[in-house]
Order: sequence, then structure tokens, then C-alpha cells
Amino acid sequence: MNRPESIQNILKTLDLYNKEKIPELERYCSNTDTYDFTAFTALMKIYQINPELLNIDIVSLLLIKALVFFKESDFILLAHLLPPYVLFEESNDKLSVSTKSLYSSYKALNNAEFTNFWTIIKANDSIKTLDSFESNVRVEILKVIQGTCHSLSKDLLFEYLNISSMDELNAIDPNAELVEGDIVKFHNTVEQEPKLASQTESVKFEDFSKLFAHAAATNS
Amino acid sequence: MSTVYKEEPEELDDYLSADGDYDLDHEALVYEELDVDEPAIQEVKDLPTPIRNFIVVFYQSFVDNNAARLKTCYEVSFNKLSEKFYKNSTWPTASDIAPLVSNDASFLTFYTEMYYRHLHARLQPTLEQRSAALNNYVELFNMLLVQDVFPQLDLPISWCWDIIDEFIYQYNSFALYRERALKDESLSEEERNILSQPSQGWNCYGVFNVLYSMLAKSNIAESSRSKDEGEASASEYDTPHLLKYLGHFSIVGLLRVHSILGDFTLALDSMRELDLSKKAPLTMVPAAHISAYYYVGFAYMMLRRYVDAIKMFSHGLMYVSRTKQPHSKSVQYQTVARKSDQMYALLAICVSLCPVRLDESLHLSLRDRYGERLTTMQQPTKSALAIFSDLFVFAAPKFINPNAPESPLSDSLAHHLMLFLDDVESVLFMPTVRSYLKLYTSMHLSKLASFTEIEESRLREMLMLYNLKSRQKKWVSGELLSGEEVTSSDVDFYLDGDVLHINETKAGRRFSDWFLRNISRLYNVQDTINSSSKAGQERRSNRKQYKPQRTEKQAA
Repeated sequence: MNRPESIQNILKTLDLYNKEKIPELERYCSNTDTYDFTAFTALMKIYQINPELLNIDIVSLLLIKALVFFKESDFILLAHLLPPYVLFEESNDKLSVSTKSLYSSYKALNNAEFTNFWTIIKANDSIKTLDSFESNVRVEILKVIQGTCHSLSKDLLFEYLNISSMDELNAIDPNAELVEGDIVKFHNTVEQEPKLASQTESVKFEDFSKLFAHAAATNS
Repeated sequence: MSTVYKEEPEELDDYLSADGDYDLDHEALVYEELDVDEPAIQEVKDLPTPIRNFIVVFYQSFVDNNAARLKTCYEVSFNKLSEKFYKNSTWPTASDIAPLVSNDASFLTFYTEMYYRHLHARLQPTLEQRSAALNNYVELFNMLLVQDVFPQLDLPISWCWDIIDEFIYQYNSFALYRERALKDESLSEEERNILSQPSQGWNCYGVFNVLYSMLAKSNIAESSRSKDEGEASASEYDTPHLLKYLGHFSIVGLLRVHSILGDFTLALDSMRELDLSKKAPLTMVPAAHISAYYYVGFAYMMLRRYVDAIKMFSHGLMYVSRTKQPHSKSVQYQTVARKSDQMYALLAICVSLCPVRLDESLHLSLRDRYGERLTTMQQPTKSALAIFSDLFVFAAPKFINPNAPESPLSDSLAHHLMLFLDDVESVLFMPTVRSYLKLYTSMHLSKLASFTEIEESRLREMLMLYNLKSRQKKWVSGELLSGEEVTSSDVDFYLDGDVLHINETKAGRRFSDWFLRNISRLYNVQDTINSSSKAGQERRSNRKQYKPQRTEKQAA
């Protein structure tokens, strides 16, 4: 992770609570290529303590970025730092509306409802501002699929990934191949093997000492 | 480390009269020995004699830096006298007792802190009282941190913990009070204004300021880092005990404040300087130790690291069952009891979400408390979700909003609860699916669909979800936030088209321990039998010696 030194200083010292550092942190986090979870939580925390400085666009951006990594707990941890009224049904201001739609897309991903997810995304305009979002999410969704499936029907797979051709699929995963016209086969990666967790027992020599001593005593 | 804290103060026994009851007149004896300013004392009327004696003795021990007596006064006498005289009222204020203590400002600041602590515990403080308590804290921390007033004061370690603990508790209590009060329409305009201003009164910047300054001042980071490098740390000897303890406890304080604000990653990160397993000052105050386990475990749970959370809760609960508890009337005992109840609830939640083998005794006590509910929680029903919700609300820390709420809808607890429950809802199906998967090594998706009564397409998604959710980060070594990914399910499977191939890992039974134990037991039994039979033989042969004639006659 290429975190600039100035940002490192902010995060590791009490400058974390310094309001004047906010613009710098905001610039760093808005950068399209940056995914620095510690910096994101720090920024959300400052917004939490200083709600008047909260920037709705940046909050949405952070949440969208975290949406890509739905496999981790990143999105949820950022959500915990949101103002406590935004996710309730009754709240209607701009922040609430935007976070609620992002939250429902997160819930779809969190429940592996991939087709549903793409439907929700299509209806949400703000997400289109982030270029690489769709391709990044596809990579992650494919990882989840490959974690369980060794092969899958082509149509279903395209639905999950919101793509329409093998070329697009191979752009994400060069090893996927079409067999029998209808099934896509993934080649086994290490992740796909059913793992056998073996349990070995180890007993220390000292534990036997009492036994040996007793045996020696009774035999002599 | 001063050895005073390892022994019970010798005078403790003197405090108990013949029938084991607290002897209020003990202080009178000590009082007689002291050189007191009688005319000043006479100024203070309306004070019961034991209280007056206590305050004078307390003050004197403070001034003399008599650690043993200070500890007894603080831990035993104060609580007993509160029980007896001030069960539902406040202690006399600082100005009331000032003449008794020669108007010593520093002692009075410490005394006022205890006064407000008692108030918060027994009664409902008003807004003015909360603000006054805050001002007192500002003075107290000023004395300790800025003015260096007490370089060598040997406050009892439990008192150091109580100061920090109470400081954060009052902040927490104030934030909750504010959230409730601002929703109450009958609040006066004036109070509303005061509460809505963030910079006035209790605010999180102030709290952070105190905690971080205390940490910095105590040089903890320096001394622990140089310990790792193997050098003798000069700063350890230079830093007075008081500041060192306060520094340690302020780390737990930071852990706590970050948790109630909902920032769980930063909470775990702040524990960097502290190692739960080493023999730190933390372990000398049970309430502090338990609090640390509780908050760390809770943070792990919110990070979905259930294996780590379970480990923390198990350690905490085993610690409680094994160590001697502080005096049952003290506030610390209540803290320990409450936190251990909460940890059981959280343990129930975590074990339902991530079945793991627990220690036998722990497993039994958990089943005693939550037996039925544990079974319900394993099913994907509304009542299961309701149980999760109840347990969470009971066991979670008291979440707060760092500022006056922007909207009347604001409810910190409900917010965190909702995020948690949505997460739980997504995994409630897992136990049922797991039980079916264990029965086969391969089966068609449609068969599983008919068992579980879930539609095939949705079932496929759920199976992907199952594998996704079984992976979590587990701590191995080093910082609390680090860890490597492991799978927590004992059933592993993959889907090939529409056919499921399943592999169950059976947890191997641990034979060695069982055999060793039982062999030793058998040996013990054998030894007992042998020795008793040997003894029996000896007795018989002894008896024979006493009747030689008969045997001779018989022989003859």
C-alpha cells in the first residue's frame, strides 16, 4: 500500500482529530485508485465527531469503494460510523437516501443475491460516477462463485456477473473455458479444493514422566 | 513494584468487631493518635462522628502517603460508610468538610471525585451536577498531568482504575442523558441550548485529550518498546507508579470510548501498547482485566472474527471463575458480575454463529443459562432473530452519539443493532444446511432443495454464501488486528454443475489426554490399595506378636 508519508503521519498521531487535516485526507480518499481502509475509517470518524463537516459525496464514494470488498467487513464497519438516523425508513434527507440505496445493494451482495444486486445498481445513478466499480465488483463476485463452483451454466454465470459474452468473462478470468456449449468450467485453483483439516495430537514427553516413574518403581 | 499491593493491609482485621461486622469505631482509635486541630473540627457540625473520624484519618494517610491505610480507607471504609449513612443521599460536599482537612485543595479535588462518583451511582444527577463533576475532573487531571502535583503519591491501584473508569462512565452517561433529554419535549429552552452546544461541557475531544495525554505522560510506549529490545528501561524506574497505572488504564479507556462510538478497528488498534497476557498492572484490578476482555471480544465480534471473540470471552470468563473476587459490596464486584453476564450472552451469540468447541465447564454454564435459546438460535426463524436482538441489546456497550443528535430519529443502539441483525439474518440458514450436508458425500442440488424446501437457484446462491461466510480472520500473534484467514466450518464442499461433492472433516478425538489422566488415576488407586493392604498386613503381624503363647501352644 503506497500511503504517502503525510497521510501516515495523520493516521498514526493525534492529527487524526485535527480538523485542519480534513481536506488533505479527503483528497487522498477520493482518489479513484486509493483503497486505504484505515484512512477511510479515520475520515468517517472525523465526520462522526464533526457532523457539520460531513461531505455527502465523499461518504457515498467511500461506501461505494467498500462495496467492492463486500467479502470483508469493510462496508459494515464504515456503516457503523454513519450518523445513527440515516438508515431508518423514515429519514429522507439527501444523505439518508443515498446511503440507504447503497446499503440495499450491499445487502444484496451480502446475501449472494447477485442478479438482484445488478438490478439495484442500474437504478442508482451515483454509482456510475466511479469507472472501475463495475469491473472490480465482477472480479470479487467471480471469486465468490469460484469458491464454491467448479463449473456453472453459462447463462447463470453471465447473469451473476452482468456480462453477455465469453470475451468479457475471459477478460476477468483467462482460465475459464466453455465446455459442451453450455457450461463454463473453472480450472481448479487452490481455493477450490475441499480442505481437509487434519487434527494431529501432540503430547509432551513430560506428561509421560509420571507414568514411566511409576512403571519403573513397580517393576524394580 | 511496591509490595504493598500484594498483601492485605494488616489493619483490615482490626476493622472487624467480634461478630465480623464493620467496626465503625476503629477510625476513632486511629483518630485519637493523630494530632488534630480541634477548634477547626468543631466548626463542622452535623457530621456523624464516624464520618468525621474517617475523613480526618483519610486525609492524614493522604498527606503522609501511608499506602496501606490509604488503601483500607478507600476500599473498605468508604464503601461501608456509604452503605450505612449515605445509602440514598450524597456525602457532605467538599466545602462542608474543608475545615477538617485544612482546606487542602488537592485532597478536596480527589474527595470531590469520589463524591460525584457516589452521586452517579446512587442517584440521578442533574445537568448542573454533571457539569460540576466535569469541572472537577478538569481540575484533577490538570493537577496530575500539567502541574505534576503528585510525583510520588502512591494511590491504591484500584483507585487509579476507578478514576479513569468513572470518568468514561460519566461521559457515557452524559451522552445518553443528552440523547434522551433532547427528545423530551418538556425540556426547558435553556437546558436545550446548553445540551446542543458541542464545545460546552462533556465532549469527546475533551475525553480523548485526557486519555491520550495520560498515555503520553506515562511513557508506556517507551518502556514497553525498550523492554522488547531487552534493555533495562530507565523510564520504568523514573515514572512514578501513579502515572504508570493511569497510563495503562487509559489504554483500556480508549478501547472503551472507541467501542461506544462504534469504531471497532480503532478500538483494537489502541490496545497495541498493552498485552493482555503479560503480568501488567491491568491484572491486579479484576474489573479492569474483565473490562478489557469484554471490549476486545466485542470488537472482534463486530469485525465478524467470531473465533477470536470466543477465545477472548472464554479467557475472561475462566479468569472470573478462577480468581478471588473483590469484596462483594464494592462497585468493582458489580462491574465484574455484570460484565461476566454480558460475556455469557455474547458467547451464546458467537457460538451460534460459529460453532466451536468450548471448555467443558464453560459449555455447561452456557447451557445452564441459555440452553433452550441456543437451540432456537440455530434455526432460520423470526424468533431466532428476536433472541439475537435481545441478547445484543442486553450485552452491548452503551453506544453513544458524540454530539447532540441531528435528528429526532437518532438512536445509536438501534443503528448498530440493525446493522448487526442484518448480518446475522444472512447466515441463519447455515446450521440447517450444514446438518444436511453432513449426511452425504455427494448429492444433487435438487435433492438438497427438496430437503431444505428452498428453491434451487436460491439454494445455489446460499451455498456460495456458506463458503464465503465460513472464512474469517483468526489472530495468530502480534497485534490484535492482525490475523490469517481460516475456515470455521467442518464441512467443505464444491458444486460441479448441479452436483454437490461434500467432504466432512471429523474433529479427531483427543485420546492422549484422557488416557494419561485415567492411567494416573488407576495408579493412584493401586497405590492406595497396596499401601492399605500393606498396612493391614502389618497390623495383622503386629497382633500375632502379642499372642505368642497361643500359637506356640497350637504349634505344640
